[in-house]
Amino acid sequence: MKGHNHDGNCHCKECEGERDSGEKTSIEEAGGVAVGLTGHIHGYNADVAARLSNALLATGKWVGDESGSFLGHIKAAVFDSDGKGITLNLTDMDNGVEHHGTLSPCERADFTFMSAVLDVDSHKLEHVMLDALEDSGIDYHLEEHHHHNHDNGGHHEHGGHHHSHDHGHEHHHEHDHKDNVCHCKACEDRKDKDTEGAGKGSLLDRIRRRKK
Amino acid sequence: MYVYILGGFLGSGKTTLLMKLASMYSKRGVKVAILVNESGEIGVDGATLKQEGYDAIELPDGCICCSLSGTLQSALKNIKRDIDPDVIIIEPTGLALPHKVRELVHYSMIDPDEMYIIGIADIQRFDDLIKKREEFFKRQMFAADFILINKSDLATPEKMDAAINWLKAEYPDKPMIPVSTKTGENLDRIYEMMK
Repeated sequence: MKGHNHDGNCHCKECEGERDSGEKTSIEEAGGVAVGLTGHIHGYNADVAARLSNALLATGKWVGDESGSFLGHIKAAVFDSDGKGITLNLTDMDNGVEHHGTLSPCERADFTFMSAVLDVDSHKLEHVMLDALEDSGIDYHLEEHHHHNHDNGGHHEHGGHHHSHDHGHEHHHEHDHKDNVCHCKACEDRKDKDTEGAGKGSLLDRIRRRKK
Repeated sequence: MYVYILGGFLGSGKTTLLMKLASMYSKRGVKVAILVNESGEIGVDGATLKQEGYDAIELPDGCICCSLSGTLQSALKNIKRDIDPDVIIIEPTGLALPHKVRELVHYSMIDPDEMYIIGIADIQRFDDLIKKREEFFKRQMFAADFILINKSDLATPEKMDAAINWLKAEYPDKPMIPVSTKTGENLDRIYEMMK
């Protein structure tokens, strides 16, 4: 082999070089996924920052439940046209969301929301992030290119926000929040949660039940 | 020109360290260029840095050690031509392999005087990471010139000792320094090393 007795666990330069000649990207090699959403928020204020923080926590909790432990990071930034604003960072559920920067209340602000984590399905992760945004009650709009393809005509609605979906991949699943026919893990988890919380819950829960 | 590559897993504190280093160099009057890479389609670190007053070149939606290798090399050439900085700090994604980034910098022909990989390990999630991705973590750290064990403010002395012992067993020749980018613990030592 390589003229030395290194085994499969060796990390010397020669062994690493051999591994690098494989075709996997480092993300694939790590078993990681990354999902990003971008858009704008209407009526930004401190309450919106807190709600966005909750969306990060909801996503982090799902990742932890799904993968066994939350390894990775979930981040968001809200910023004005000059690029000034806040960033939120979640790397550990016990530590909570770190807030950096300040942004004065404004009519409109751009935002990004991204997750890079291990051992979850990227499509499910995107669903969870979209659902977390919806459940946050933030008045937001997503940019078109982040939407994915569903079999209900390429469109679905999240809390009154209209997204068109076009993923461009063969990944097919039934998804229609309104008629409750989606069976992805994220939607099933939500249904369970809704069932558990029947008879109580937030205004959004009641609206959701009424829609069903 | 010096090039520093910050290598470490997702959430280990690379961006915070980068900001501290950029601030330190700015105070010394050193011209710094920052290059950040994120695996997601959307970059947040660039926004974070901008909010802190640093202009960063952002390369989102891929990894500069593999899928964006060509983009990295173009970006480096442009940085050298347009900015001609004293120091370039590169922050790859937390899922990148830093030794590959170093090779790409080498092949980009920007001819840095010196180049270092700073490995960053997160003490808080050290055990989890070793449990789930030991091989990948080792691949991230093996080429580091020194290893910072970050978030020391969140670790008990026993936990820190255990992590240092583990790392020493794997990399007996690498300097290891517990730091906290949050509280600033031991950062002076790092600044001194990077003079």
